[in-house]
Amino acid sequence: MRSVILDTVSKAILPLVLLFAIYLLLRGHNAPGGGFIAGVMAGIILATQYIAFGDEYGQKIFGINYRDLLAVGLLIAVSTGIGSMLFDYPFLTSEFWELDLPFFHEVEIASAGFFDIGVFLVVVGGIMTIVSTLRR
Amino acid sequence: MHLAAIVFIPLVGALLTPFLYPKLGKYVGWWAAGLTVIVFILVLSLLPSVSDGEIHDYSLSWVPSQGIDLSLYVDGLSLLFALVVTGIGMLIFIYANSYLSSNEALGRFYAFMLLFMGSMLGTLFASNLIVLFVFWELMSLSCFLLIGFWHENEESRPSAIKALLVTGVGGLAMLGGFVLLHVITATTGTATWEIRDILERADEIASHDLAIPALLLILAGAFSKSAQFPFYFWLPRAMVAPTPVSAFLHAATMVKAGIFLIARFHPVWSETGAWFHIFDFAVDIPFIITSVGLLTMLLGAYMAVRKHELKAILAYSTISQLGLIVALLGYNAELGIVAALFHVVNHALFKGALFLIVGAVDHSTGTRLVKKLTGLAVAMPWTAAFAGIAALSMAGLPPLNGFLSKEIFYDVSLDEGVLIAIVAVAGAIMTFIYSLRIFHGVFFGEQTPEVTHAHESPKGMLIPIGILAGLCVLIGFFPALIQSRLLEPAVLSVIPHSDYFEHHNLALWHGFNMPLIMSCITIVAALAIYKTLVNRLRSQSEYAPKVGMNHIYENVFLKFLIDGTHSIFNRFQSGYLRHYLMIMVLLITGLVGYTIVAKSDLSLPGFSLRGLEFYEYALAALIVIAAMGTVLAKERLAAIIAIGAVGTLVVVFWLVYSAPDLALTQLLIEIVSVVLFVLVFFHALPFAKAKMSKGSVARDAAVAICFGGMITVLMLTVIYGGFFDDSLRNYYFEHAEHEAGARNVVNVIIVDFRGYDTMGEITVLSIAAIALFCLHKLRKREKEE
Repeated sequence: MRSVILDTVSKAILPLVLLFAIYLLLRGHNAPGGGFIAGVMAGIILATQYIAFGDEYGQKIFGINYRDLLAVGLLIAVSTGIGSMLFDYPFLTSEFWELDLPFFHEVEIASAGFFDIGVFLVVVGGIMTIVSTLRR
Repeated sequence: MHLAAIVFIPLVGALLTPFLYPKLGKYVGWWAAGLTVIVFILVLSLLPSVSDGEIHDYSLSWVPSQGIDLSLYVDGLSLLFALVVTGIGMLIFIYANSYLSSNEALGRFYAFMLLFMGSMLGTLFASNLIVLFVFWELMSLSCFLLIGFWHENEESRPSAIKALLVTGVGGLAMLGGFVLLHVITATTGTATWEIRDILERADEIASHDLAIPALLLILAGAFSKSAQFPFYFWLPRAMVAPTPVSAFLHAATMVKAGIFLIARFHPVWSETGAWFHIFDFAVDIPFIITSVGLLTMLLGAYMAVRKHELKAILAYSTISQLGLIVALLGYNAELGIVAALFHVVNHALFKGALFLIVGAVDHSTGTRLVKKLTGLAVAMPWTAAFAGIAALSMAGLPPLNGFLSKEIFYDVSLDEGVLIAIVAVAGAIMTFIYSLRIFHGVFFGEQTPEVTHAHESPKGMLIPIGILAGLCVLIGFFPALIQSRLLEPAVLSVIPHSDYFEHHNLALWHGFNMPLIMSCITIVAALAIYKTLVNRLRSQSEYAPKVGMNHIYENVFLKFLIDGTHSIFNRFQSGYLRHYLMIMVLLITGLVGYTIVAKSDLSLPGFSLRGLEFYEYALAALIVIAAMGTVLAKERLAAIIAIGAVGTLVVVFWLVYSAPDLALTQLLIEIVSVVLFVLVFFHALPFAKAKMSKGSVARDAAVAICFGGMITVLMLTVIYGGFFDDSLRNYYFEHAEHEAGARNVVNVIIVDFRGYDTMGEITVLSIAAIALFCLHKLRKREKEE
């Protein structure tokens, strides 16, 4: 069963919502947002695509299987934890650097941000794996 | 860094091996053997400085807030064991290359072997109790994997599980002991997990009331790993593993880990007082160690005499010899420690050699039954010669290394009393008999049909056996080779002020004394008994006692474990989500409710509803209406819409009280819930079927009211009852900006301050998603079938 309204709307807002999710992810350090919220938002819009258009949207995004997204996300999260061990700090110690780049001016890069990206990917992968499994 | 390399080269090698296997094929064995050679050289390079009394260490911060660091150190004791592990390991890896056919899953095999080697080295070098425990359990795990290597074999799987359960339960007991030790250090001074600190403070720890329970728990771990009574029964079953595994783990190295642990904690347990008294006799830790050791020695030796299968004989013989070493440690005498550590080396050499010889015999004749093997010396002369050396060394015949340690064993047993000396001789006589059964019984006499087609082993197998046998002879003649460099530093790290080696030297000839007379008695008695019994032993049927620890394990322990699990599962895992929910809700209500009642007087100073705005009343009323709508809804869709309304109204509350993060999260979660609900509709039963009786409605209502009431009271007491401690909140607010460099405190808590929790949560989410996927696949496959 396909609904024209759902098809059109979900297609139209997909890039916007994904962009907004990434915006939420990146600004999470200093303003409301963060990996979890961004992941849920991206998950919702992708689930909508899946409900609207069916299987071809249920397995992959940009050629990456959602189940692989779980593994990649966990790997990123664990690597940021292990990364601090390389510098002789305990697991998951965070560090941040403030850079002064041309055009962007002051940009802050925090290792916790990478961890947040891992959270984001796991949440997207988790939601989509669950949704696509329940659908069938 | 050096120490870390020794531990991590095998571990990293183990991770790489499965990936290299497709490229290297059967040469993967040489890659693994090459790694062991490197590790052996690294360990050997520590020898000069360590024997001069230097202690190397390495430390990596792990959980500094709990005093747990990945810290390693090496002293004489651990170096002695490490040299045995890497040296014999190297020879066995080389042997395995010729022993295993290229059809086997070699990648898996060498990965597990390297994993074992790394974890054993980690156990030996660990300087922190938790690190020791982690490596110890990793060792149990690799042992489990190796015993179950031929997992398609019916016998392998239960045997592997048996080893894992027995050593795992022991390991958990040991962890309990470690925690108690930590608690003791906390009550007597600074709390520490570091083994060296604990050994330094041995006196104060030993006099603590908890010292004996702690040590008994640690001993349970050591005894289970070293196959001491009553845990010995897993070891004979472990013989289903490939022979190189038996030689490496179950003879030369892993089973010595328990002995290492006992020796390591010698300063603590040797200082403890009596545990309890029987009449006037004080039962203390050394007494327990000695009696367990001697009992295991006799039991193992007797079983070894009665067995017919070569690996079974060797397994029980290993149990017996380990019992001997444990007993020597328990004597709590300087000489006993010397003999124990010396025998660790000797036993590893001759028992390693014997296992490899049995592997070679099995390889060449296809059987390991003593009955079917006689006169093998004609076909396998070299193997026979090496077997002679190794077996006679085990029997304790001069001029071999086994003789030296047995003489000291007699000497120190004499000091303990006549009874113990007699037990020692009895054990040695039985040892002599089964050694003769292996050597004389298999290699001499008429040739059986199995033997006539036998051939000598390839060089890759003979050379490692030859080196081990050669070392037996070499150490027998020149014990000074290992005395000053290896044995003395090891003894010194157990007894720091030992001056034994300043006055004594290990030597073949000590003059005409009591131990020598005892040796003569042993030899004569054993030869006489062997001569009269040899044919009877051969013709007897397999000896399997009706009641043994194995039966207790299978009929009591396993039965209890499986039936107990079943009964608990059947009670709580009904398969209905609503039951799980009810159990969880009731538990939380009970625990939190109890805490509130116990810790607060339930008076709420300052609580009033004044000052609330009209719209806040209105919102609250709407939430109540929506919640009631959810409960009373006749249609499922209506219920979902109503519960969505509850959530959305709560979001408004968050916004009113300026918590944008929570509002956003809650809103998104509401949407996801609706999407998931809609999807689940496909599978759900019709709503009518879920109709319940009046009784269960009343029950559910009661549970819900209790839970809701509890939450209400909780919230009120937290805010008004003086429960609210805002130090944590202030900490987060103060530290977020300059320590995490972030202004969004909620997010910083999630990804930084409580990052570990989040790590756990995303792991759980991943597991849940994958589990759901797998369940779905499984059901689909079942439907198709």
